[in-house]
Amino acid sequence: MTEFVILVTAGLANGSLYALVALGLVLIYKAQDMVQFGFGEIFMAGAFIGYSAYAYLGLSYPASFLLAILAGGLVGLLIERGLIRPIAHFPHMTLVMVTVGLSFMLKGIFRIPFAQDVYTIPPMFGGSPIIIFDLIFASQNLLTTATSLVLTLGLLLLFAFTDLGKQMRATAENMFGAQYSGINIGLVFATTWGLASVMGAAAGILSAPITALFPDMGTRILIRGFAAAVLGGFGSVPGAIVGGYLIGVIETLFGFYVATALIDLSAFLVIMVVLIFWPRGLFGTKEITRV
Amino acid sequence: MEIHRLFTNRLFTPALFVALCLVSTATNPYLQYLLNLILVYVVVAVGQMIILGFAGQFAFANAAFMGIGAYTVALLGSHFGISYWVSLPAAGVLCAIVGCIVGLPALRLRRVYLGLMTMGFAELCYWLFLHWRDLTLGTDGVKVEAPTFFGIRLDTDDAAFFVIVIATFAMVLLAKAILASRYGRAFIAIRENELVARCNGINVPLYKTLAFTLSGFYAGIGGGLFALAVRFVAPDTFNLLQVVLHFAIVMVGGVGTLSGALLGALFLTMLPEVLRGTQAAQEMMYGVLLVGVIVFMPKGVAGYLIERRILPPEVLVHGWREEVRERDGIPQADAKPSTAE
Amino acid sequence: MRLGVEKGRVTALLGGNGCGKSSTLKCVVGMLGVTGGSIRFEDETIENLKPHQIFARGIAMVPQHRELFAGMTTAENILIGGMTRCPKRERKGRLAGILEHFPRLQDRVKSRAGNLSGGEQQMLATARALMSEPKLLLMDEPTAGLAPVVIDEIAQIVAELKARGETIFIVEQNVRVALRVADYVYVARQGRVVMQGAVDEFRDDHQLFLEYMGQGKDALISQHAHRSHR
Repeated sequence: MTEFVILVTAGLANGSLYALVALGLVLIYKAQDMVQFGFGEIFMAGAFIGYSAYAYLGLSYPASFLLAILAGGLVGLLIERGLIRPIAHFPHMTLVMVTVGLSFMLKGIFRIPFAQDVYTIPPMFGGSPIIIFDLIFASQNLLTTATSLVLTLGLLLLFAFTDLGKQMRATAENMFGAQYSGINIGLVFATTWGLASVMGAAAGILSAPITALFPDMGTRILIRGFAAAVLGGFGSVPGAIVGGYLIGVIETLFGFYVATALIDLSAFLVIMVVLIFWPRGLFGTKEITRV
Repeated sequence: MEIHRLFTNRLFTPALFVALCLVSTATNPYLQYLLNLILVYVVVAVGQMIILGFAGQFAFANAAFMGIGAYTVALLGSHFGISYWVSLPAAGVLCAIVGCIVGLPALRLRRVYLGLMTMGFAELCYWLFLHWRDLTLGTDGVKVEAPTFFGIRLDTDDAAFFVIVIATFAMVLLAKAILASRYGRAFIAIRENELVARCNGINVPLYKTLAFTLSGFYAGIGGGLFALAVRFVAPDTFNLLQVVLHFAIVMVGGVGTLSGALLGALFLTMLPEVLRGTQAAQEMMYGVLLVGVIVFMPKGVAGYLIERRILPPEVLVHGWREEVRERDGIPQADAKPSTAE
Repeated sequence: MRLGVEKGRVTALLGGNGCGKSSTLKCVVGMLGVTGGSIRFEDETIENLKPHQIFARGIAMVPQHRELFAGMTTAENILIGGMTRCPKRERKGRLAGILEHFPRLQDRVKSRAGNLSGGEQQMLATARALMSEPKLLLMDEPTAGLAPVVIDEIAQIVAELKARGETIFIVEQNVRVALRVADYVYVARQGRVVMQGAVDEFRDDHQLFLEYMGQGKDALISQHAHRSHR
């Protein structure tokens, strides 16, 4: 039983990161109907910027975390304003290709300083486990999950109660209607990318104590982000969150009880199975095609 | 000077064939290998172009089909001693069937979902190549037996070239014929507006399946030719990078044009050779180039050249003779339908 | 085209398909780029400003396809219209005031906007635009695609707005509605103004109908016949 609980908490911790990534992907998709294929590299950038702050600037973990997510958000903002906005009217395939090119650029940029080695950050609380009700929890896992939940909650509150959040929802619903209602959609797009990238970078720096960092780590997380978003119903914000945690748990349980080699594959299997049998996912809505 | 008339001339294709053969005899082994690779990727690119560029389906399983084709040829040769001349068409047929099967769930899926599902399939295949050691020998890879032609072993790049160039030309001409027929028109109609296509009597599921089957066939043959060109098949070749490559070839070349498949294959196969330096530098330049081309030539290189009237517009309709004439400085298309279709 | 809109009056722009009426409105509101000529509002040149900047200056539009937020409720839709020009504490009050003028919307205040009927959606789009208390209200073919009974309702609403002193610029293909509510009329054809004048001059003007030759002349003549039998 304890083994199961350990697996589930580890799975939830990983899943909390997948949820953040999925959230970022879905935000951009909802606002601009495009898939940001370079998002894994935002995750990677957040991880490495945070690492650099910690290892080279000597900042504490919380400070590194803050720096990483702010830098990540800034990168996202710049990409939207500088690269995506001027070509926003291009067909979708083209925009996707641009984000693919972007992912190569970012990978290359971070490979220059970080190609040689594999980098890690030690866990925050020295690795000693927390014990509640005779169940053992790795403290880092709890921290990761908690931080991720706070961020997610913050975002949901933003959407529900602030003007900006409502404007973002309106723009995602109908871009033209938003413009006719006086919403500055340029600001909305920039904010969307900024917030999404904050989520992605946060996931990156949160993953640093758990896994090793290397420039290609983005691809792996991107796939899981996709799987989570698909499972939850691509285009659903709560779906992305729930999907992320589910994927995390599924992956860990699968890997332990069936075969470790399947860990990498489980995300893809989930994508394929869900899309073949339940394309709408858990929370997705039926899309109505206007003729 | 109307450069594009050069390409519509009847003699262009045979002339190109002869030119390539001549070039091939004069090059060193490395360039020969590169030329082989370019031709192979032309075939693969045509497969991706059919499903993505013409039928407008966001399907990215092409790399998987290519891998299956390559492994089929390699394994049939080394395990069962089957001759290349049999295993190559077999690879094509097998991948056509696989393509058809992959296309089935795709009938219901749109855009993002289709893209993700086919990517999932591609990754599944990669995983199988890697882990199904009993069949594929995993990371050890499979050595490709050289085909024999009337007793001569074709185990050099020069020898491989002759097989590859003939196959490539055949496949491209076949594609041209198919795309110019009502099948090609159906694909384009589906790409432009599925609902309208359906309302116009096009059996959309049938033609979608056909597009998938066709692209599978091309990628399979391409994979088989690839096996011949590189003589060694390993799993790492067919990972997500290969998926991205096929996508990039189609986008950079020019969506919806056959010449785009050719040009894209040419540029993107040569690019790694041209971009020297560390992996980091290569990646950055690759990314910058990709973004740059797309931003400044959103219709791809072929699209750009067609607009500039350097390449002929792709008239994919049988029986229409189109002359692009300038009237008052404005290009007009003057289509005269013939009696036969 | 040379057009002017007077404060406190309803100005109509009529014309058949493709004469550029909708495009004119879209240019005013910033959704279409202007390549020549100029647009002035309250002594300020506003062409080529961004839509949200023009909106901030008090110009609101009810677009041709309504462009509602289908997944949100009626109330939410209206509130979004006022978000940029109405301070938070006043919003509830303003919303209540607007709903008084649209009793049908009051009944459907919690419904999803996508589930409303065509006429109700038109009312909702109008209410949303009014939420910002605009100085100038633009309406792009508000009766398009609606059943005749509903058209009358919409015309009634525009008349009420006019009675409350709103400045309205309405683009219409439905001549009868336009003549009913307008004070001043422009008629356009292929991007040019071909006739203009105060509405009384138009009411019995056969010339107007000749302008519409090929645009459902029979329907217009029967409308004309209907009026003269009243």
